[in-house]
Amino acid sequence: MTGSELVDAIDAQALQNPDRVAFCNSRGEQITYAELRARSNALACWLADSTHVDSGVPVVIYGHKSPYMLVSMLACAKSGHAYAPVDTVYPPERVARIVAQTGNTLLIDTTASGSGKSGAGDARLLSIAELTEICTSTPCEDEVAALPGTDATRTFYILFTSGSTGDPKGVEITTECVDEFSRWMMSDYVFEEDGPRIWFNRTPYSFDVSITDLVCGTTRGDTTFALEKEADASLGTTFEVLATCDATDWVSTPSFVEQCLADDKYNATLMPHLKRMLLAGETLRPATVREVKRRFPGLHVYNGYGPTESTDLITLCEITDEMLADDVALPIGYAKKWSDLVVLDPETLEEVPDGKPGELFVAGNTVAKGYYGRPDLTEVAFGRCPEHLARGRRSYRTGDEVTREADGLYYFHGRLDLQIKLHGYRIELGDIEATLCATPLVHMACVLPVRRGGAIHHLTAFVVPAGDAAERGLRLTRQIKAQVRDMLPSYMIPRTFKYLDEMPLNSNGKADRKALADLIDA
Amino acid sequence: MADIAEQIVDLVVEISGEDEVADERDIDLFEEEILDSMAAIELLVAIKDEFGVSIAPTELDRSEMNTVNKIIARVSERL
Repeated sequence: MTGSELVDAIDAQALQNPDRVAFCNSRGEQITYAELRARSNALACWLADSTHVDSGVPVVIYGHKSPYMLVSMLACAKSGHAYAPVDTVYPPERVARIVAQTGNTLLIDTTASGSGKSGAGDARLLSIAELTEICTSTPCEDEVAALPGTDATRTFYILFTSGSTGDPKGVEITTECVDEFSRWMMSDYVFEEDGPRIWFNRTPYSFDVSITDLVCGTTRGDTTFALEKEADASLGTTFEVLATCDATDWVSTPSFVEQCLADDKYNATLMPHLKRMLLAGETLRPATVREVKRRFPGLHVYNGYGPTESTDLITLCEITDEMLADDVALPIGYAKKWSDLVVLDPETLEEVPDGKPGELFVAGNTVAKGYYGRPDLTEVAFGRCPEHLARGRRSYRTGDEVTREADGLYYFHGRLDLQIKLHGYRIELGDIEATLCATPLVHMACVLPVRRGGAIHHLTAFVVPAGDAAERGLRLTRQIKAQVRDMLPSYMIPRTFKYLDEMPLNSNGKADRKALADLIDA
Repeated sequence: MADIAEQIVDLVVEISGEDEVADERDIDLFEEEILDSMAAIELLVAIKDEFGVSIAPTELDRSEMNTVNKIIARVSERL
């Protein structure tokens, strides 16, 4: 027993269905449940040896949808380490910051190219060659039996999200969070009666939408099929993968589905086995669901919502034909089982009645411990729910404005601060602004979302260039983009840049976002 | 013909948010990061709505549609 219900369930599959494929990807790599157990045990024994890495410290797992990322995640849980998953979408400078924040311990590089090296900094680096050798060794049974494992209150993973000052912040999710999330999904989403499923996974593992596919896919002994970014680069290659993956369950952001819908070939002929589609990470539009249901007759479509700080999802529901009858906003779902979702006035922290908008707070066992190594940020966002509503449990203030209707369904309205979601990626605008201003080309910067049809379409940066940036326009834009590319993942780089002689300021001396928004609309 | 060209320029400006493409019709929209893959799909959808010319995103060859002038030529020949 490892102290984690999830990890135990996966190990049990290794005995019940040893040859079943647990995970495969569009590059053709795959791993069975028996291999997953054997390799994670071997790596866990290596990780539990404190001459390799100090016991209990977090470990960074770097890579992109490789079976070894899964092996490493399980090995960390079995050896009592938290893991921080970092996808190759992150440029080296950002990886280096995450490595530094987790204490420069160990970076497991699961890439064949060895690209993790450029972000490893002072941390010990475990290359794919070393990793393969360790994982294919056979530890003795005594060693495996003596593995420390994890426990309910220990940190299971640390997910880094955009922070408002340019430094990513690490959300600490405990073993209890993961186990309760898994139990909820098994009871309200995954029903026991149907046979083995194939889960289509598109989200990289440094983003929490992926937790749904990975947790649901492995708990019951299903197969997770990962679409890699090489195949994701054009719709043509994506569709070749979709046609052959035999997926029964789809999990992604609505915008990815909208991209696929742009081609008529995205339909039940392309994916004849698809039964369920779970969409999360951004606003789901009725037109998208209607079109999906037209292309895939009989498909069950679900909408989910939740912040990383409360383990992926906290609301979920199936989108029924009734909800689609009128062209009105779709609900984000019913509250997660065993958690308390409360809607409060953001100023007075008093409950608002059903049907009225307020800020969403969540209390329960899937709420994160806090932000790793940042008690200051943790204090602002966690434990702020009034005691009689939190009932002695951890709570998180989401910063999201929602309404709860009398039937128990929640509706999302938007953010109360400068955090946004673009194509499912969570972004603090201050993070981008701080990075832009750190380049010698930029004196001041303010980044705004540009909306179309109610949804955020792209980002635009208003920039006052620094003195030595003579030329404005495309050439300067190209220079700025080139300079921030090592710091920011591509989805955080504004699509367009507008240049100003001076920044309009509000009475607090900060950039006047409203005045700038008027410039966009003009 | 001129009308089609102007309409396509407007679409590219609208989707990219970059006014300069109106005057720089031969710059590489992908190399200059004026369009990304998502914006390219959006452009194809807009072209279908506007002109009834259907170019499937799965058949999109970037090198044939990477400048404003090439897009204009491609749409014109299909009208």
